[in-house]
Amino acid sequence: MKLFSKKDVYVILALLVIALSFLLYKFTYGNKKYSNTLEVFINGRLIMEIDKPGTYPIYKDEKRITTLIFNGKEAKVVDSTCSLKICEKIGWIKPGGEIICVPNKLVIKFKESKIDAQTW
Amino acid sequence: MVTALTAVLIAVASGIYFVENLIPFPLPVGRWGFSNSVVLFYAANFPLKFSITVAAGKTLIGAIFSGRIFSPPFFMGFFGSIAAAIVETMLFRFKFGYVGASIAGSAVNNLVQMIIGAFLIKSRYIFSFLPLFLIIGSISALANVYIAKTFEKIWRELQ
Repeated sequence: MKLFSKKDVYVILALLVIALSFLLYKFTYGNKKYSNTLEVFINGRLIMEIDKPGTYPIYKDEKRITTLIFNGKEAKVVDSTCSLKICEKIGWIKPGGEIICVPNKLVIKFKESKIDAQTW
Repeated sequence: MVTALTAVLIAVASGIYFVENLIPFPLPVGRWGFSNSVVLFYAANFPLKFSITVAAGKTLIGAIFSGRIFSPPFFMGFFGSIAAAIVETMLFRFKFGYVGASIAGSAVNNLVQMIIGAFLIKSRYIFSFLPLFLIIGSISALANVYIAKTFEKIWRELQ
């Protein structure tokens, strides 16, 4: 098989279009505002909202799966029960960031602010 | 001959799959995916059933050795690899080159992994990793082209 064919240009162009579309989306519709409240989802269900700094153990089926540390502005998890500890490696997240732990089906993110609409 | 080669290369790919966990990756999530070079080599030179066998085999054996069998990341990798094998084989049939097939395979692999991940955690937020994965995936896709071409050269010499 050939190393490079003229048709490969279509693949590269398609990838560029997809990557640029993501960037365009991020800088237009994706430019959301976030509050300083954390939302914790397990299996797609909101189980906890946190707005005060502190250390919070997170439970799934009555077993502790991780511990969330929130300093009021940033958040991270420690002591996760998953094998790869990817959620721990993500480190501190700021508003707009997410901590995702696939083995524990856990998502932690900052709550999106509601739009400040002004009416006459 | 092809069956023996498949067995050997599944073992090689599983070894790469296991060892590449130790290679530093610029993101906290993910891996380089160099074991997909074996799938790319098969997609270029053999029928679809062989590339799917290699994709499934290397993910299964690699996951057994890393203790991740039937875990959510295993399913993400398993279906991602098989999707890449199908797309790469199809593109080679339509006379695309190694570079195009590898980049497309990498993109499809990442996209399918995100879809499976989003389905497992019931959240769309996993897609926030996709743009970076597409970019880093393209870099490892080019490295995979070099490795797969080396496999092809050795295969031609053996013949």
